[in-house]
Amino acid sequence: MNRKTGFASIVWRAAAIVAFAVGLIPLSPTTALAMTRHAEAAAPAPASTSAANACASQPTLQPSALLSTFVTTTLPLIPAGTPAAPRLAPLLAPAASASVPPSQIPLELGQSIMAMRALPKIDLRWQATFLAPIGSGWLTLTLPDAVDGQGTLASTSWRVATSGGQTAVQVGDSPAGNLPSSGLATALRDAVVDLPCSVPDATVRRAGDVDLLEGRLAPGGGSDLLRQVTGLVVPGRPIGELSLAIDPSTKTWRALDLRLVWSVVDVNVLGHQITWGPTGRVSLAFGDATTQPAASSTPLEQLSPSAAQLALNWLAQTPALSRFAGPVGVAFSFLDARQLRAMLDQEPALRAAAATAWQRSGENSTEYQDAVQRYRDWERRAPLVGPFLRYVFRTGGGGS
Amino acid sequence: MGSSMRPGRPFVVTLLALFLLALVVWYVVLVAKAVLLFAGDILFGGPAPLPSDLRLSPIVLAVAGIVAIMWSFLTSGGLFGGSGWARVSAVLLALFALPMGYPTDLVIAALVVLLLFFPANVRAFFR
Repeated sequence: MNRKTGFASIVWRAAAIVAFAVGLIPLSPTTALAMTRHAEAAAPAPASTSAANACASQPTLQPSALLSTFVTTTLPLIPAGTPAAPRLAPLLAPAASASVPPSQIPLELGQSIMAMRALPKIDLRWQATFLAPIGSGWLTLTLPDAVDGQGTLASTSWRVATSGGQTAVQVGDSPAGNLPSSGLATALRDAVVDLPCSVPDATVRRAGDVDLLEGRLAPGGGSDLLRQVTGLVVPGRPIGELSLAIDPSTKTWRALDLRLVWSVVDVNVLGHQITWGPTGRVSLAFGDATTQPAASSTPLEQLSPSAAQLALNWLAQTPALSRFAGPVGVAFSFLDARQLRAMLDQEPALRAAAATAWQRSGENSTEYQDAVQRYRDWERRAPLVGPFLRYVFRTGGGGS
Repeated sequence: MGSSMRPGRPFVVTLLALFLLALVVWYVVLVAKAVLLFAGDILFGGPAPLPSDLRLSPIVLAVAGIVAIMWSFLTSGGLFGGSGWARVSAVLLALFALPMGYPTDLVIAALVVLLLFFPANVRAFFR
């Protein structure tokens, strides 16, 4: 396999994993048929009476089964010559469930899963990164059947739309087939909602205006599964990490962040786990961006203010000194490594929001223009060059 | 005659300068991440007609990181060489560049001030 083919293969497989993670099962009629079998087998789940049993009472369709179906039916689409494909045949059997015993599920998580199951409709926007951003899009699940969405994955655009009991799948400009839609939305919702059930030692804390649940996936709940499914000779053991932002008032989810880290550094320093290395990441933001701006936030940790920022705020609020706030703010923007790191983390989500708004509503829509404006507002806070950009935009008249 | 010779570099100054070199590595990681974002947008950005200044934003961040690399590197070299300006710059770096917020950053900056401005042998080195 030459280098170019190898790279394309890796990207394609990464895209396949991402597609699974967001519950997208597109591309082929065989996929459609297999998905239908699973969806029809998924009997409606009885309403759970206990938050602690939220994970235990999940419907019969497990993420692992969904994943096996996806891999089995999508693999024929992988370009010929990909050596890993034949090795995936033994993977047809669903992987063992890595769900955590109900007694170990935090109460907040159990309540939130029940709240998500009670929603008649789930809007989510997704964005995927594997070293670099590889795709983004939106998906609307109207329970129990209707699935509508649009996105771009590894430079290929796709669209799914449900009508009259059929979910039409379009890849690029061409129809790729129809899925009988019975139970499809329920199955996809459960695949997403059950993800936190594989986190054995989840911690919950208040971060800003959300409850933030964080933890590592259990062995077999993420990293081993990825290795099995991709068939790649993966160096090391990727660590699965999950962050979930829960609205404390409604218990519904605002955002979910799933990361697979091939750790170069994984140490615990004074109780703080420091993990760093090449990372694949899927970010989901729940809620309609046009009606719920807060949903665009990510579950990434919010920065605490620095001493310099506090001093700047004090300057700006003191009438006698406020005229110095501008120049001091410019000076403070220099060398702000924390801000630079945070901006690099936020960049893919902001860009994906703009791309998704364009997909949903078009170039002239208010949603798209607002998303671009949010990006520009963020961009002007860039360390070092933020002040320069502010000057350019002001004098050039752009990005007002 | 002997009094005109600069004293040897104090250990604490060497240690602080080495910390700043570690900070350079941290900035290099950030720059690599910014370049990957840019590459990812070219390869997988999709058809959305994003304005060109949005497309270039990761490069802007990479430039910020590169300037920060140079700043940290020069400051570290300045500390090794006993330059006075490097002491002030090291305090700024402690305030802005370390991955921690208030009040930890203020405590660290205060420690740097104590170490670089008060011990007699350090003051003699920077004189």
